[in-house]
Amino acid sequence: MSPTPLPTSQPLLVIRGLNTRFRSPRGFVKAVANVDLKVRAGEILGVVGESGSGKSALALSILRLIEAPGEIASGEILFEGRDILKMRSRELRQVRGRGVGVIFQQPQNCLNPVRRAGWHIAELLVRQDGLGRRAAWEAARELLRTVGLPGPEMAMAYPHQLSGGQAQRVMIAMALALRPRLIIADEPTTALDVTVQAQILELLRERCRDSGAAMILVTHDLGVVAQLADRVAVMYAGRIVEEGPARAMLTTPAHPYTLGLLQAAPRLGADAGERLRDIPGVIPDLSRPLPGCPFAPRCATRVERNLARCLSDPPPAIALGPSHRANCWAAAPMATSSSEPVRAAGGSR
Amino acid sequence: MIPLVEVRDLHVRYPLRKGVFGGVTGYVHAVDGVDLDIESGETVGLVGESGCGKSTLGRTILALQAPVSGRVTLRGKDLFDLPQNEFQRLRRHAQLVFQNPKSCLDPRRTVGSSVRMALDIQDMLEPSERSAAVEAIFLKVGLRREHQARYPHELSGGQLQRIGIARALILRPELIICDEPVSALDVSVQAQILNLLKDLQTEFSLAMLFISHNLAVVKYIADRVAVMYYGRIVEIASRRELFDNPRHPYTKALLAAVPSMDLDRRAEQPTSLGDPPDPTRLPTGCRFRSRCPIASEACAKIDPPLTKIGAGHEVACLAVAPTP
Amino acid sequence: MSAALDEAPEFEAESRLAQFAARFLANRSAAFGGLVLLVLIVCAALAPLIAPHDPLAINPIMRLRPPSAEHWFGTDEVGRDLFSRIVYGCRYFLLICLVAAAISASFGTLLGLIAGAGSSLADGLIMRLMDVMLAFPYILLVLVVVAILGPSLWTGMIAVGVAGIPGYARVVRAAVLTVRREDYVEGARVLGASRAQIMFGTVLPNVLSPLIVYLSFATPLAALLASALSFVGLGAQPPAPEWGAMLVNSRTYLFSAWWAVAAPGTALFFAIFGLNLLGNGLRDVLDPQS
Repeated sequence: MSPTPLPTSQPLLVIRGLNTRFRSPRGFVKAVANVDLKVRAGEILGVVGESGSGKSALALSILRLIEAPGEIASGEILFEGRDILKMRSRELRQVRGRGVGVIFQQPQNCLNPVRRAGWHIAELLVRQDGLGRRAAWEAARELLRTVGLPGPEMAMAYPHQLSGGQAQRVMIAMALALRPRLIIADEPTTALDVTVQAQILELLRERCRDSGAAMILVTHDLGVVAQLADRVAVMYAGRIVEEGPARAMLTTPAHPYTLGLLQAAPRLGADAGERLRDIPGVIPDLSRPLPGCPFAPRCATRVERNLARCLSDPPPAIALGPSHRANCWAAAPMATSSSEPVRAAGGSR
Repeated sequence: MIPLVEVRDLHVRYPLRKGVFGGVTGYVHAVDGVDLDIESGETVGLVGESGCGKSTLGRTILALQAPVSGRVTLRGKDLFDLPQNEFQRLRRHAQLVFQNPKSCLDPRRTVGSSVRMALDIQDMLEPSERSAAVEAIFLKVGLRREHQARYPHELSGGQLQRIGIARALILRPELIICDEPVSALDVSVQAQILNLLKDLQTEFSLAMLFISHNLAVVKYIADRVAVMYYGRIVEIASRRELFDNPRHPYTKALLAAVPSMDLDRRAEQPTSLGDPPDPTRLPTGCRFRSRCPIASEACAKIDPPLTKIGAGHEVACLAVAPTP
Repeated sequence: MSAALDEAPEFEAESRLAQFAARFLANRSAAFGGLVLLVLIVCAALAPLIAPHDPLAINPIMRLRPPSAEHWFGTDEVGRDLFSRIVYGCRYFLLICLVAAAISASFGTLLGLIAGAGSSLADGLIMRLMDVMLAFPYILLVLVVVAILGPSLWTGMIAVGVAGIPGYARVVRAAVLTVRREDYVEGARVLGASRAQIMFGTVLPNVLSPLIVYLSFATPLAALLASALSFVGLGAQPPAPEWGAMLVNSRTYLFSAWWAVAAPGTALFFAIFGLNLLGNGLRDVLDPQS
């Protein structure tokens, strides 16, 4: 069933009030808490967070890939105007693969070890596009060529014969095979060497540009986000704490956690002798959320400015620009105007 | 003064077993002729991608693995030529911090007990003093005394890594080898652990071999940096020299590949290196030549040795340091 | 670090035993199996108090009576009270389990430890020996033992015990091989621990878990085998109230006095079923991923 084309002003994906939780012996763990998000056609959104931030749970929720003991408790996920959470299985199957493609972190875990690389793609084309076997294999070989795995040997290789980078390229070809409008990439390069990572990121950027697909890129690596993303959303303890254009977020972050992340990451461009500013404390227990802002116990800004309400009232989204918002009582853009992200010595607080 | 650790022409290899009866069909030369010195109190960073042999080198320096040839001396003593009891006692001077903080602790022991085990095994201090020493080291690494009674599965990655460091330090070694100690940790916790390592190193005058694939982390912590590629050191220099003035094409490619946070550098494309070779079938001559942008004919014939090109700066590349 | 930047609230401290107990009781299999075991132990220990009649008292007038108020499970072919015999039979069942398990587990564990921790020569030799034992038809093994020692409950138990050794050896060897590769074993090596210190201080405690789980599966199986031995007359000898022997003696009365067959058969079934469930439950509860 082909979707009615959207007017270009409407976003491709709209998430409203999404709550995803996991049952545990200690009660519900709220992995995604009340998340609102929009992705426009052709745009690359970077979702950044550390472990426990909920970024992977968010990515999986979009396609209803959450399994017991997890469940999507409430919310709306509108893909091209239709709510994914209300779809029946047939429609959902259409969306998965054809509307939205997925790339996971560990490619070797996602490939069938007794099937050749080309089979994975050909199978998709036969099933979903209704192609004949021969046509599907030809298309598969062509797709593999576009992702940098040319030649019949690559299509005929088994997963164990492929390196990490090659396997990931196969995954990308699979994700692109049905020409989706949105790609969700969950830590696609984390398991790869840095030289291979650079090539894969370049490939992703190129393929998105060429096909016009939007991408949600989930990662913990701010460098990856800086290289690829148009917009960035930062997550902490299941919530989006700041969201905006990449440049603004990386040079003038408003939320203390975003600032903290930028200051804590060691960088090649930094001067020697500059001490990394770590964020003291640990991630909160998601099964027992405290009132107020989840970052408050670790927030240096709260202490400096003596903001008591951070501990009792959850902060609303404060608009900082046309498409930049931060959930923070102290929200005001912080620090430098150079193209380099904030350094520990310079910058505001 | 002789260096704390001297590695000379070290070769370590793994047999490959194939076939029904598991016969040896070939070898992976994980460390293929490495010389390295580590001086007291200095931090040497060892970088490279997967398969370069950096972990194997670190573990061989700790005698967790036996070389097929070459020598490792610690405090002047040849590690692989010692009587058993002397060797066990020598262990106290060189310790290891693991990559995976969870799996390196016995799940059946409390973490306090795991740390205390170090003192019991090495028979250091009077038994009555050991509990106090364990408590002191827990406080020193930023934990509380209540943490001693916990089990590994009850603690976070950052806390477990602190315990790993505590266990390594309680014996007051002169050298600690850190094998990707922060790779499994979140960025914010990573910064805490790196700062902790830096502070402890100063306080205890430790030498450190810091193994990592993350160049930015190594830049933060190391005094000297060695770059490894498939079993060889291809470049070694002071930190400033290596990062400001890299000479080996692989080092340059590595540095270029790190995703930069500078948004103005987005348009730059990294040099395409091609796929890594099969470790059992490395190119003849210079092993990097199959991926090298400036490889010449001579590179296929000559395997370039590490050659000095400046103060403390050595490179194994014919284009940079032609063999005389 | 200012006092305001505290760490997040800590876990409540619970002793390891309390944690184990809580998980055990929460797991249905483990709890039910544990209950069955408890019932068996109580019956065995307090048999004289629980059993209304002497299990060996013959009363030919009352032979093959159906269940009644006087004899809850009825009587057997020589008039003995079946309920009392079942209760006393718990002793035999538990004894068989204990002896067979003790023999199998101790020798099997020792062999498995040596095979897993020692040289590849030792490993090869021991495992081939285990293979030979497994290849031996079980009944032949038993007949050999019984021929040497004469048929009795004890020879039956010894035979079952010996037959169970290869199973334990394999499990322990596999566990040792897995644990040896773990990082924390290498951690002990780096600290300078000797091989013995590593084996007994670090490897063995971590091997106990899979061993205990295997024990709880293998033991009911051993009990079943021992009862089967009694069935062919090679185990417990009459008039012992051992459930397998009771089955033998009653089998001709299957259609005329079914209770004489049902009582020992059902008792065996529940005992073994319960122990199997216990094994299932223990495996989940002892999973270190907790």
